[in-house]
Amino acid sequence: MKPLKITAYMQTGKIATTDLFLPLDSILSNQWLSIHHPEVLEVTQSSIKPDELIVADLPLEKRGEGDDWYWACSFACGEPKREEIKHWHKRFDFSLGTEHIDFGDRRGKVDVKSGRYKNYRMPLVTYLVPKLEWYVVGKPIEVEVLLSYITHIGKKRSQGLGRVAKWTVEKWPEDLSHLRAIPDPNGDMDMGIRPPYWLAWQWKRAKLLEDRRLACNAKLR
Amino acid sequence: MNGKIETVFTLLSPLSHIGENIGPNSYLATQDMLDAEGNPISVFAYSGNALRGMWRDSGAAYMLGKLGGNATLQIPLEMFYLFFSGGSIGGDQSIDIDQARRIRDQIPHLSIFGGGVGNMLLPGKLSVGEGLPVCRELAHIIPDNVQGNREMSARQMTTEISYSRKDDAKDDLLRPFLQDGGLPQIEGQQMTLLPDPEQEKKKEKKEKPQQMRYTMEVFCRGSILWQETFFRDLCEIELGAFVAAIAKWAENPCIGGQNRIGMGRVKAEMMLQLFGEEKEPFITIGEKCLLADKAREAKARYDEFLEKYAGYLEENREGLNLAIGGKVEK
Repeated sequence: MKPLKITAYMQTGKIATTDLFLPLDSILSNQWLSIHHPEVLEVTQSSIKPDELIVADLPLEKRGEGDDWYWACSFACGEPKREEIKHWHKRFDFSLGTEHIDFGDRRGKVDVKSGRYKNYRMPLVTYLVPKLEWYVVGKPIEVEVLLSYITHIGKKRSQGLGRVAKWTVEKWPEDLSHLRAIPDPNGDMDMGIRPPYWLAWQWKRAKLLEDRRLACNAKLR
Repeated sequence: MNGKIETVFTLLSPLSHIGENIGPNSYLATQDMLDAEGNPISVFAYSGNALRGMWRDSGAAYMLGKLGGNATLQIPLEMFYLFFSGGSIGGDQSIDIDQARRIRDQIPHLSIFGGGVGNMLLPGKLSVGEGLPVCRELAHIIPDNVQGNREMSARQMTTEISYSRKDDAKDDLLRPFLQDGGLPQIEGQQMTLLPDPEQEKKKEKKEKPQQMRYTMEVFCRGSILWQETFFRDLCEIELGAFVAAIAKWAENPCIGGQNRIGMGRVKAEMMLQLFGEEKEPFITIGEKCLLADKAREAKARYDEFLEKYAGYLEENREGLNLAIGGKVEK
């Protein structure tokens, strides 16, 4: 295991995220699951029971004690150039509906202003970032193999956002993997310290450094 | 299989893709991107979500056409919404990975485009990128082999087109077809001595022509858009479902809005690149839709699958409902 710097060169620079944390261990975990346990990605889950949680065996160093363990992998570093609110739309298509819907005995009326078939104009927070960097302690070749499958990062990948043009992995003289949420009883807030970061029952009291290299701090400046 | 499909669209007619309306005028959707020096710029881009929605519609229409045989298959509203719009989350069906797998196996269209079934969200397997214009601002992104003018700014590739909407009810030649409007309006009628002001007001309001002149900013005919669609973990039948969606769309190859007045007509060249392999021709859409061997074989597998499924549906008309509802035999 060696200190490494991993860089994602973005294609158009557009990435959808609200917090700019973008932990790479989470992205790598998703890729590891798609190779070793694709069945768990068949459906998006809003929660996972502790006995059903599959922990990815990442080529990264594990840090921390007991249940406070985490991967030696920083959050995204970089400088967003701009924030933009984009909108995506979801519309009920009436012309296709008249052709293909069988209303049976029901009234042929669809309410698109509320309820199940509501039309949406959804705002989406995006950032323009030329490149993002992460600092990890891990095995370079195995990390590279996992990265080679990853073409998009962030939200709304289905719409092409977060396209990564190129990944590079290089040895780095300094271990900066501490630029992340570190478990700390005196920390600022409860937050995820390892993937899946959204899974609330494994949140811990943690501290996030106010380091200006972190993209999330750059956003707050 | 993992890989991507690169598409080069050539606009055969102006493209309308509205981002903003000011009064009766509409303007093209632009997005912030980075230029070659890493500076933010605002450039027109055709939304990946729009392309994805369009291909999802074609894929669903193709599937229902095949399953219906000679007739158009009509389905319940909930299912229509799932196939054409991706459905919604709600209801009492709990997360069931086995059930999600069975739905994917039985409805490849849903597997590739994804959708909400009960309380489950089935992620799609496609990532449909934006259509980026070949232009000076994005020359550093577009592959060298893609033709187009890399010297010209995207701003110079737009133009404005104005249209008039005429109020035919005020056309004297057409008034005879209007109920209570048989007589042409003759100006200079003798005024009554004491006109009723209320009546005059009402008349004035009624007589005001409902017509307008509006202007649309469009992307010019002849411009070229480059686009990437990534896919992951597709089986051959699922690739066939995607090819079928494209083939159906190719019956009327248009993107963007205002297709009814001839806008957004395109020809397209699609190249397939499987992970770790070279690019190869996949689909050509011009006057006809030409499928290369790999595309044709995948579509044939999908057609075969749909024919079998159509046979099953003949015997069991509720089959599709049951498959979605989680009651299909295991």
